[in-house]
Amino acid sequence: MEGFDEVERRVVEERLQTNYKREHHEFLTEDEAVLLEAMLARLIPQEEEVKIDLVGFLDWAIPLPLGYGDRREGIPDDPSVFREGLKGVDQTAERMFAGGKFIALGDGDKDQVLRAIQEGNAEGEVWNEIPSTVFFRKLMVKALDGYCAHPRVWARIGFYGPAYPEGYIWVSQHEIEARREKKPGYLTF
Amino acid sequence: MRRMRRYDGEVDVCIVGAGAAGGVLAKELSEGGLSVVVLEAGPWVDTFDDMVNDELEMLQGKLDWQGLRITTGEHPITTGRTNTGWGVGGSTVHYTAAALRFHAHDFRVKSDDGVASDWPIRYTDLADYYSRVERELGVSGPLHFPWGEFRGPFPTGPLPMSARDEVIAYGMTGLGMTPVVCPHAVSTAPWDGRSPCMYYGFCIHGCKSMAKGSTLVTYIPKAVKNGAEIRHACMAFRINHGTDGRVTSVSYFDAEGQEKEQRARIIIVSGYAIETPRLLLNSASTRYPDGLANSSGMVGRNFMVHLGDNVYGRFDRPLDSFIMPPVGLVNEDRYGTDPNNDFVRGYSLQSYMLFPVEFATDLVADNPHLWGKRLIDILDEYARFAIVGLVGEVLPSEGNVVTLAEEKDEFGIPVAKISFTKDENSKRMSADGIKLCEDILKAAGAVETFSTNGTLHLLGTCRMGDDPATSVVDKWCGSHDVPNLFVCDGSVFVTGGAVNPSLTIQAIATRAADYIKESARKGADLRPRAGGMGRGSGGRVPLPA
Repeated sequence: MEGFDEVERRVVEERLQTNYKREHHEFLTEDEAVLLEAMLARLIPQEEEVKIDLVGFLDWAIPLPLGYGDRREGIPDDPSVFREGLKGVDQTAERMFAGGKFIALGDGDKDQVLRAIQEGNAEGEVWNEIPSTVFFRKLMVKALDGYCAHPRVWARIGFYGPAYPEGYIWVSQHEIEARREKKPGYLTF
Repeated sequence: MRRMRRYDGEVDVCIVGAGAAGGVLAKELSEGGLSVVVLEAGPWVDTFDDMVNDELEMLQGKLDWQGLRITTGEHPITTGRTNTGWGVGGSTVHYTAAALRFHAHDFRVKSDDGVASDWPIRYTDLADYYSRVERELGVSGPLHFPWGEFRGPFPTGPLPMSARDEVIAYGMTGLGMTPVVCPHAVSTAPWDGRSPCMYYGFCIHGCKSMAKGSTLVTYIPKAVKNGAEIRHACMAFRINHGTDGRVTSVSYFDAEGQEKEQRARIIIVSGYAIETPRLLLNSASTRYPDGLANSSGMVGRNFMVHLGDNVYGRFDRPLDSFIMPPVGLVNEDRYGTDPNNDFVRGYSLQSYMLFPVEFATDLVADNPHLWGKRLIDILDEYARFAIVGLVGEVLPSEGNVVTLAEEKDEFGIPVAKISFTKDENSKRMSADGIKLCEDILKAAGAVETFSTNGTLHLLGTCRMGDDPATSVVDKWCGSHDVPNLFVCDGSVFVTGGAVNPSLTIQAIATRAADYIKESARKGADLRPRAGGMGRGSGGRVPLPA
């Protein structure tokens, strides 16, 4: 982050301190956090030693509009979709695997539950009120808001972060390849 | 900037909305010596202090309308990020700044193609106004633009081609298409006190320099200098009228949540195609029971968007497509009707890119099967992706409509409900466009493609026309029903064209401002009349002293 100007650096540092790791969750209950953690391990798998706290991020992000204020007719607001949707995940897990909770399932079974929710053919009372596809999409979008706004991921995927103040002056094919070789790996963040 | 004239009491003009149109109107009218107050619901951000080169930071209410809206229909749209601004400058603060003119045939779709309706104006009515806006914004563009009526030159030279653009150009030429660097409201040379583009790339997250010609850094500062007052954080909720039916004032909530009223001789609504009809409908009274300016019942009807389908292509080498303004190349080979297609009207293509957050969230929203290791593998290749997307013309339909919802906002004002269903023509156009984007990317060497199906822009809902029974405003943007009320923004569009609408919105606003200034200079009543309204035509009643 040495290349960032002061304002950008402050924004990113504040984010790392307040938007990801959280002392205690404000929105999520303990059980919901554990369930989300288990789901995200399958949906957005991360290496343990450089793991970003996406559960903490979601705890911050779920009540926020983050660019979009619209609500589909007949669908409750985001906090309700998440809260009810998480209940739905266990309902589906119980139907598919005879009484088992999602967190107790093996990886393959977890994926089957998530696949059913993603495809819209999951069973569970909650899904009569909220289409499981809506919940799944909202969860992925907000989790990826957090994943892709983390400087460690930027370095990992080859994004240089803020260009201010010097601008991107290397724009042609050979220039960007030359610049690439000089960038540090993502583990240095 | 904040050393600004303040008005107390009645002014000549009150404009609701400080966006693409509102900014232009404020500058042009104040330049004509009229006293102007602009009410803007959102904040007044500072380019240097408040803009940050960071997606998530800017997603937190600095740029986008995050107020509640209810969406419905078979293809409910999303609103905010990709289509509605928030704050002084409006959507121009987050637009890509693609500065493209409509073609002549866009104004006569009914005559040419037998669909939708013709505009009451022609391309020639706007040509000079397009030029005025382009000079004001310092539009950059290629030496020769090969489509439409205007072939250049542009005020400043073209943006350079990035690695991505070289690759896409190779793909397009391989298919016999013509790739051209897109004209942008982004100056490439010092222009009117603004610095040239530094290729930060963060155009759609608020340009941190003043290279991008949002009205925030172009028209608004000039308006303020001319003596206009911009009141930000002021949410207009009702337009009031007198016993003679003329509008008299705008009621609004100020930054402290206090109810205030601004009286004006002329009121102009420039809130874009959702908030404009919302305000008119919320201003219903015993005299205007169906809402203001709505004797035709057309307020809110014929809501249009553009098809914004994107195709992501993965290449075998890094392209760093995020460098440079997001729109690179433009191609209008498929603009307008081609009898060989199975759809009418057409689309334009643009090379494009998104920063990581929106790259990922747009992708999974339309491709929910991408999760787990498969998703991470794609994201890890982020720098090797390029996007080609379309801006496709959606025909107006009375069934696509903005009405009032039962839900209310934090001030207790009913929010807008937007119903949108894609017609068969749009679906066929999307399919054709996506296929072409895939072909271009493959011809360019892409090894894998994914498509997303967004929509862009908000148009229609207060369309212009000569017949008061089927349109809301006349060709000068004046309400058919209410003598001193104007609507001026994307709402007045009769059809949508197949390019980003801001330049056309601003040309229309400049033209409307000229009309209002001329009328005011002559001390004329501002009532637009039936039977055609040439500039300087007679039959006007002088304003009472």
